[in-house]
Amino acid sequence: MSALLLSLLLSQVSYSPAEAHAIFAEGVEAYGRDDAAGAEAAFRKLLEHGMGGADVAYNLGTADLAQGKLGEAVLFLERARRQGGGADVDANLTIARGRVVDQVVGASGEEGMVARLVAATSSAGAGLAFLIPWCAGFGLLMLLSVRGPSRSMLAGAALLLLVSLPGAGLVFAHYVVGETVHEAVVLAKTLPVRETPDAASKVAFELHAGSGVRLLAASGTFIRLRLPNGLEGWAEQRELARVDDIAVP
Amino acid sequence: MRRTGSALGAAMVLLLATAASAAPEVQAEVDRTEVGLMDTFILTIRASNAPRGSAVQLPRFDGAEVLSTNRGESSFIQLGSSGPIIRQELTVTVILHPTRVGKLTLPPVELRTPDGVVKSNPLTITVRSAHVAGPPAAGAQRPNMMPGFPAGFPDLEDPFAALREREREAASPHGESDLFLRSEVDRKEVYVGEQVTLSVWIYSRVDLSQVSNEKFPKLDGFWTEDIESPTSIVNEPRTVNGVPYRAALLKRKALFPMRAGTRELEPAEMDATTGFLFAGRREHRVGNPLTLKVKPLPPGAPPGFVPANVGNFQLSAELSSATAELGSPVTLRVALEGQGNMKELVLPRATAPAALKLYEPTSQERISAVHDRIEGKRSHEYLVMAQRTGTFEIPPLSFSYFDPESHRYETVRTQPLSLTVTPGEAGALRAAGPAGGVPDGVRNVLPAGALRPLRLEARFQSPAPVWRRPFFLAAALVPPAAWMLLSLVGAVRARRARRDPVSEQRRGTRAARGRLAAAARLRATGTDGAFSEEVERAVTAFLEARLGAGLSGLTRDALRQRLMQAGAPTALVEDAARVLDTCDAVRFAPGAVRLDRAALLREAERVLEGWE
Repeated sequence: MSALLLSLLLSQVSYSPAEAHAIFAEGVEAYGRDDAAGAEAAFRKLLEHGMGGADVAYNLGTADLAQGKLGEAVLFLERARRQGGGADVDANLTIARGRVVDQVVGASGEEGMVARLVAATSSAGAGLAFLIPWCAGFGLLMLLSVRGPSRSMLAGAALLLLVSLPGAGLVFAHYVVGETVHEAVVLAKTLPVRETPDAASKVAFELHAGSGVRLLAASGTFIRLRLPNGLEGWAEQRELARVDDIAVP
Repeated sequence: MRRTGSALGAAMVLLLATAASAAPEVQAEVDRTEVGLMDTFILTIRASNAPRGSAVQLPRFDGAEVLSTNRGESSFIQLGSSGPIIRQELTVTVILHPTRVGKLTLPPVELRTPDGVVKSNPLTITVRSAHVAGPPAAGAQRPNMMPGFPAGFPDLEDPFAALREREREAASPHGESDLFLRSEVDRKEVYVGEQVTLSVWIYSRVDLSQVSNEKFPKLDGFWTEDIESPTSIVNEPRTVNGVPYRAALLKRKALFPMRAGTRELEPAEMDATTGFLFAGRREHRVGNPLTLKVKPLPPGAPPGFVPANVGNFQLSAELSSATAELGSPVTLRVALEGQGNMKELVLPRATAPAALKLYEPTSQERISAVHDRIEGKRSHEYLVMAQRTGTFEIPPLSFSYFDPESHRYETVRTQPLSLTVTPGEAGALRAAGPAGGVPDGVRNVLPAGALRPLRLEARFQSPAPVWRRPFFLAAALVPPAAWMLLSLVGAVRARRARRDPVSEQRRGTRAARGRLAAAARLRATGTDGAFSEEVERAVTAFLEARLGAGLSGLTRDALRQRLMQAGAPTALVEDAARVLDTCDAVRFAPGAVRLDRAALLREAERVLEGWE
């Protein structure tokens, strides 16, 4: 029991920046020796100790992809994309998705405009698009209060506040999607999706490692999921990993 | 089953059966009561009056091994009061070989009829360790050569013995022991997937001219491979329990059990023709069943182990050349060689870096039986076409198998193979001039689909969504809040800047009341001068507030007039004038006036309260 507690405690201890950089370099070096498994172990160690970030997630996803671990590869590359992304993230994510067995047919148009807009923009960019004109507009208003009435300044303030509204809407869309829409990646080699949340129920269809799904409602160990083309069913939660989570599967 | 007997015999049986009781009976008898451990004996079971559908069920013979079983059946019609009834007579002859010394009890044989089970009598024989002479064969008894004299002169040589011996050799078998089938396996306990060799022999002491209608055991649950299937009878001398036989191999198979458990192999059957030409006779023989114990493979199999991989194997991989030019193929040969179920083995699939294109392999197989063991070689040949220049490594291959001899799992591995690819002459030609005559296959292909490399530097930060960052809320709320605060301050300041007569009056009244309260506090302790000064200030402040203008410079009459014009009550005007006069008197003639502080305070209060 005490050993368990000790190991739990040790796993929670974070690395110092120097230690973290050393482990990161160790992983990169292992990958260079064609030891993708060793690289994966190093990057996982960092994540498990709370030393995450887009760089670690990208390297871990790439090491998984090199080993053919498609579910983990898509998961970590998708997390890297959400944490900042980059051209290399997009390239490897495209390769990983291209290797996924499942092909979702009839998915076009099912995704709402808001979801597509959110997927195409970053929350930080949306925040800046809102904050800059918002602060500037109120700055002008404050200047007006101090200096006295000025028509041009009032018009400028009104214009800036008007410009900040789309940014505010985008931030709100990011908030709604981020707080209410949960996406996950299939980790199991084959995941049976059932008609009801019951292990004995009929299998509606099967998914394979790397497929992306949207999570709806949970019931016991099962969770209801939906594919981009609207197909729905129930699957075991433990076979899926949430993209917006930081837990390491 | 085979129908035996003749029409005459059937008629006799019919007559006898009519007279006899209709109840079925079973009788068992052995040809000898004493037998040697190396001898054989014959158990004969006869079931009479058996109803149609009856069958003789042999018991398990503990202490004896069944060498051969022969079954015969004849049917007859029994006429009874209720009409004709079909009855059977069943005969089963079993050749047995004792396996231990001592008293051997043969349990009762059961006749299973539609009406029930009828059991025979149990039998007991004595098994000795030494050979025991058996009963004389039928027809082998010496004839009485001197009629009229008692038979049997043991010391006399029989002059016809050689002739009779030749006759006996050539004639039909006199008993089951002269012609029988025997199945044997080289081991009775094997692992799943391990080879066991089954051989079916026919043993004879008579001339055997033909074997036909062979029925070999069904081998469900086994992978099988023929080792020998002789097309003609080739005899070899063999001795069974001290008796010389001619034995001919009918079939030899390699069996590879697929499932664990105790497997029963059915007896083989066949028809054998003995003698020659018109003296030939056809005999049906049933061999012995066999029991095989198949053990499961022990735990501890390596990951991905295939249960068919049982035996002893070597794995090899080689390249036809360690160097190659762009566009020139080399051959990768992967071979698996050894003893085991070669046909079921799956060779490990070769892989190569993306720079080397591996085409689908061609397979080759050579399987043979050496000393009754199946062995061979399976190989795959891959055509390797280099797409890029450089030195590339073909990863090692591994193959895991279970070795039944050492009872262990083994893994054999190949060495990694290195292939150096150079541009070659065609590449030099391309570099030297126009590439028209150089095929595309010699280009150094650099595809775009490769993985992007890892990042070398890391920032260990996981940015939260913008709305969860502390600065965002502050940056969004502070500007409007600051603007609102600023606006509020401005409004207050503007309000304060505005002069309202009513509020001025109120403010002046409040100030006057304050001063009057101060005067009240001086009433007991202060001097007359201080007290009257406070009272005067209070009244002056009140009147200035009500009039909206200062009183300095006004005479008493002017003050009265202004107050009257402002609508002040007359009593209040007089009270105010009197208070001010009193205060002036105290100030300018302190000793001349006797001041009634209480009265002055009341009058001042009346002034302040009397003008609402």
